[in-house]
Amino acid sequence: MKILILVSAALILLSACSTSMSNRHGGHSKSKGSLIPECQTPSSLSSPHCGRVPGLAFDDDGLLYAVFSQNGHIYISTSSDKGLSYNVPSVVIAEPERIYDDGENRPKILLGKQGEVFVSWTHKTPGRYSGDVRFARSLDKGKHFDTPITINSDHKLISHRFDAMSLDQDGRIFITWIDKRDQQKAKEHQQEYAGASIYYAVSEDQGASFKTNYKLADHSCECCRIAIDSDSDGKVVALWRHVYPGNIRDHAISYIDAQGVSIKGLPTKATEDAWKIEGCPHHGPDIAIDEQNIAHMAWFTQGMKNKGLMYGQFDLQNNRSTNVQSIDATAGAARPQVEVIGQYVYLLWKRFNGISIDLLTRYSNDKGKIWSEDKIIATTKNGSDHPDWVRDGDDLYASWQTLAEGLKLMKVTQ
Amino acid sequence: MSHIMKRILKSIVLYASADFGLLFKSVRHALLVCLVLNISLVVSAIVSTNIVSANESTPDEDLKPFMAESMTEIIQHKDQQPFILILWSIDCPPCMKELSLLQSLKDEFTTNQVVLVSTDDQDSSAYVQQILVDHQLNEWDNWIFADALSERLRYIIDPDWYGELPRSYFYNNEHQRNAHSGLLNEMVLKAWLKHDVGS
Repeated sequence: MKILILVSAALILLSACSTSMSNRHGGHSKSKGSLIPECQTPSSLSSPHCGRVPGLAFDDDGLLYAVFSQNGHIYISTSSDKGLSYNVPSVVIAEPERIYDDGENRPKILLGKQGEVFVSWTHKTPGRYSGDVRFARSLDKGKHFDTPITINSDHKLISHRFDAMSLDQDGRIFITWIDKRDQQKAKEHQQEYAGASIYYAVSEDQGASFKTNYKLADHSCECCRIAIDSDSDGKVVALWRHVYPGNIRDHAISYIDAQGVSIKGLPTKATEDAWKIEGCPHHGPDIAIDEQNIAHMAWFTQGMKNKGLMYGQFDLQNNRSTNVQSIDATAGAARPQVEVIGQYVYLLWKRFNGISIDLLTRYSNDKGKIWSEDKIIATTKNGSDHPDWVRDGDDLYASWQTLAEGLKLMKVTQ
Repeated sequence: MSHIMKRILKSIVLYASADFGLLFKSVRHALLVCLVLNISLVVSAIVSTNIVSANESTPDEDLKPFMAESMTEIIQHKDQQPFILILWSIDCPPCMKELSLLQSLKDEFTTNQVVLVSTDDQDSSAYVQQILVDHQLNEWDNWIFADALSERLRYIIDPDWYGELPRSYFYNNEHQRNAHSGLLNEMVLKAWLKHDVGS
C-alpha cells in the first residue's frame, strides 16, 4: 500500500510538473502526433484520425476510401457515410517500411472503374532525401493488395520522391515523381545541375507492372510536390515548380505522353511570377482541368510580379496563361487547392490568424471571373495537415486532418 | 546538487521498501511521505531551473526547444550584440549547402554570432543533431521548433515570412534586422563578419 501511495503521489507530482511545463509552453503539442485521446496509446487502432496525411477518393457509388500512414504501414479504410465513420482499416503493405508522410509527401489513392484501388507512396531509403516510389494495387475494392513494387528502376539510394498519380483515357496509370539520378550523375562528373528532374512511368496492365522510367524534364525544383490531372480527352497533364535559368522558380506545365517523350529545351511556363530563390518553398501547386481543357491552377509564390497564394488558368490548346489573380497575399496563407465542376471553380486554403489556423473557401460560378466572399469553414488551434478537395460526383468536400480534431470532411456544394 | 537528489531518492526507495502494511496505520507516516516528496519536488525544481538557465545562457551541444517565448529570450541574451538568425530544415537541400558554407567559415565566426533554428518537429531531433554534428556546427547556438503549430512560431519570428527556407535575419547591435530568403553566399557572410568585427 505504501508503494502504491508513493507511486501515486510521484505520478501526481510528475503529472503536475508536466502540466505546469505544458502550460508554460502554451499547452501546445511539440510534435506532429495526434492529440485525440483515442490515438494516444501505442496500441491505438489504426484510423484516418490517428494516422498521418490521409489521401481520399470517392468511388462511383459514393463510398469514401482513405489511405493513410501509421506506424510504418499504409492502411486503407472506407466510409459509407461521407466520412462520419470509418470501417476497420486493412493494410496496403504487409511489411512495414519507412514512409515519407510530411504533407508534400503523402500516400495517393486512385480508383479504377472496375473496383481497382491503386496506391502510391514514397519509401524512405538510407541517406539524406533518399527514397523509392512505391505502388500497390487491389483488384477487389481494397480488400487485398498485391505485393508492392518499386517504380523507379534505377534502384539507387538517391531521391525519388513526391510521387503523383493519374489515369488516362485508356485506363493507363501514370506515376510521376521528382528524381535526382541526373543530378547525381552530374555530381559524379563534377558538373553543376540545377534542381532535380521529373520522371514518370506508365502501366498498361492495371498496375500489374510499369514500363520503363521516362524523363519528362530536367531541372525541376527539388522539394515541391507535382500536381497532376487529366484533360477532357483523358490525356495526363503535370504542373510542377521548375528551376528556370537564373534560379527562377516559376511553374512549368506539360502533357505526359505514354510513349515517353522528354521535353527538349525549357518547358512551357504556366506561371510568370519571377521568383528567384535558391531555396526550398516546399509548397507545390494544384491543378484541375475543365471540359474546355482550361487548366485551373492554384500556387504559392514570392516572385517579383506576384506574391502569396495565386490562382490562374492555362489554356492547354493555345498554350497561354490567363486570368491570374491573387487569392491571399498574407504570409500566414498556405496550401491552396483548386477544383472545377462545370462552370464552378472552388478554392480551398488555410491561413494562420495569429492564434489559430482557419480553413477558407471561395468559389466562382463563372469559371473564375467573379468570386464569392471568403468563408471560414473550420478552425484549429494546433497542428494540421494540408487541406484537399475530394469529389463525389458533382458534390465537393473539403477534407482536413488536424491533430486535435482528426479527419473532417466538409461539404461545400449545396 | 546531484548528491542531494540521490539521498532523497534513496530515502524514498528505503521508505517504499519497508513493510507497506504499516503505512496507513499512521498519519505521521503519510505526512512524512508528503514531506519527502515535497522536498524532492523543491530540489528537483532547483536542479531543473539551474539546468534551464545553463542552457539558456551558454550555447552547448544541445538542441534547445524553440517555443513561443524563445525569440524574445534569444534577443535578450544577445545583449545588443549583432547576430545572424538562420532558419533551416532537414527537408531543404539548399539548407545543407548553407550549413556547408557555415562550416567552411566556422573559424571566422564566434559561437554566439549565429543562431541556428531547425524548423523540423522534435520527432526529428536526432537527425537534426546528426546533421549539425556532420557539419561540425553542433557547438553553436542550436534550436529546434517545438510547437506542432509551426505557423505560430513562424509568425512570432516574422509575421511577413512565408516559410521558405533557408531564411536568414541579420541583426545589428540595435537589433534592427534585414531578412533574406534562400541560400546565403560567402561574400555576404564575410562582409557581415567584417562589419560586425569592425563595429
